[in-house]
Amino acid sequence: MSSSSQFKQLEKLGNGTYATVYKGLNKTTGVYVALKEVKLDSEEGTPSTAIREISLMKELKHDNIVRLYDVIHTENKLTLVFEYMDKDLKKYMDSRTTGNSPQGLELSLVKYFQWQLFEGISFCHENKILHRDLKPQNLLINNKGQLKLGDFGLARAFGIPVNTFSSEVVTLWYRAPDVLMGSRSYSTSIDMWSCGCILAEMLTGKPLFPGTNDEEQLKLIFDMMGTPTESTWPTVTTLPKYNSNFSIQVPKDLKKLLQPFTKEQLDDIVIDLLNGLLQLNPSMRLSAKQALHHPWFSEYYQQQPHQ
Amino acid sequence: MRAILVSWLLEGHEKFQCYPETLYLAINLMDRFLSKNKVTLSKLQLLAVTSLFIASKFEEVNLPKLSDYAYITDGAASAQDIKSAEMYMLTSLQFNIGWPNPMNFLRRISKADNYDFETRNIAKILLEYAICCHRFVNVKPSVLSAIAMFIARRITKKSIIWDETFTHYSGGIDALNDPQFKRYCKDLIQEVSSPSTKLDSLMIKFREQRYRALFSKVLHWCREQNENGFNKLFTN
Ligand SMILES: Nc1ncnc2c1ncn2[C@@H]1O[C@H](COP(=O)(O)OP(=O)(O)OP(=O)(O)O)[C@@H](O)[C@H]1O
Ligand SMILES: [Mg+2]
Repeated sequence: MSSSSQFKQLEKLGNGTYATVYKGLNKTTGVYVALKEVKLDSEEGTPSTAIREISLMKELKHDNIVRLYDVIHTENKLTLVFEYMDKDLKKYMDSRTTGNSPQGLELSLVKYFQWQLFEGISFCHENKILHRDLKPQNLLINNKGQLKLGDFGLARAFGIPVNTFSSEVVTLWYRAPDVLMGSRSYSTSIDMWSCGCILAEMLTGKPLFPGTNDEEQLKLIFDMMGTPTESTWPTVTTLPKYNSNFSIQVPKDLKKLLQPFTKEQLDDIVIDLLNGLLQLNPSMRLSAKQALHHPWFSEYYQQQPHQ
Repeated sequence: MRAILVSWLLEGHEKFQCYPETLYLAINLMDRFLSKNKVTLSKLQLLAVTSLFIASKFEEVNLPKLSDYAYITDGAASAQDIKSAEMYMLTSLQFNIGWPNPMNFLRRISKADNYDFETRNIAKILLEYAICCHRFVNVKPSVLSAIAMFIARRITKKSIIWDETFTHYSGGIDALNDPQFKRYCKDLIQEVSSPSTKLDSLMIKFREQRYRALFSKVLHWCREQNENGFNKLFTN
């Protein structure tokens, strides 16, 4: 463990629900870091999010996962020392907005970011860890164009279909339909749904399903992806919050819907990937490994003969 | 002494109705802490309750309140004591809370027999028993789960006891030819039929309605095996 005097605290980088993140300078090495400060004055002792984040991230060492260097404990706070990243993806996309109209990113950049997102999440899943809170604010990027997963506060180990309550998981806009309908046994597929929402958001510059409550969120999803039925998704009608009065929608042509907002012409291959990620039925959704082998990325995997 | 601590953990765990994963993690945290730290007799209960407190935060969805933890110690530890002990323990364990939970391995092995219901429930009982026994502290969680599964399959009289599929799903354990594994199996059967340390809370738990029938089946079978000298325990 290092001591807090080793770091000089610089400007604030972000505010999270349970922590404040500052930029910091390691005085001995001259290297920048991100200092995530967790207050310990809570009634309940150390926040469970901090315990999970620290113990899981200590084990996850991968190029596309933000590195946790150290944990410093002082009287009334816990400081997590992370590898410094220049921005989160949300801020980056906002910075690219001109005037009031959001802008999608260049296709080649979207592809590179999405590839790294899959590399990172695939590593988590191989190590039996679900991230559960993938969204642009939790993806960090640096000036080299690297993208890394951050914020493992909601992450947890699985091996298990995890029993949990939907409210605890994933920011509404990136939440999978099975979770929204109250499915209690979900797995790696919830992260893959979020990856699909993020891909679309990078392409168009705006969130794909910006619902304000659970019902509206489902409605936005079904309006675009079609309303699920027992034939497209066996057992869907048995989910706790399935409603037989859902309005019946047919799947729309994603290319037509997204095209007006993208920077460049979309091809069918990226739309195919998007469809694979945004499968309503979780068992049909692509896994991270499958996504990495999707033809959209052929230029990447062809460079790696050993794979 | 460990048996007393484990008993406390079991009782607390029952009161809060936590997942089995939480109990196993709590026992593991306690064992790891004890292997590095000296704890005075008066602080033992604080150690047990704090282990459960941390394990729940890692595994559970609905967390009991800190005041509930203090309450179940009957005045032996205050909320403030538990809070301080929590940080002390986290620091001592260097925040390495995650651990390959044996429940995960059991789930994996269960794939080999399509989650046969009775076998699985018997294996869970055996696994819990083994984790509570001091004798198996040093056995890897993956091996413990395989032992529980192997014996459970004997008890439910499966015709093929262990084949390549089981070896595969257990992470490479060749049960019929692994002398160390065989020794552990005999040890566990022996522990169940004639315990070397008393595990009172566990016995109370297993005599409850939901476990009673299965546990008596396990107990009966283990005693029989023990008496006939583990006859045919390892032949397919
Ligand atoms: N390593 C880092 N480098 C640069 N900025 C970072 C880093 N880590 C976090 N940030 C910034 O701080 C913000 C909050 O961090 P983080 O998401 O880890 O906190 P949190 O409290 O878990 O947030 P949440 O509200 O999502 O629960 C991020 O969105 C990002 O802008
Ligand atoms: Mg965040």
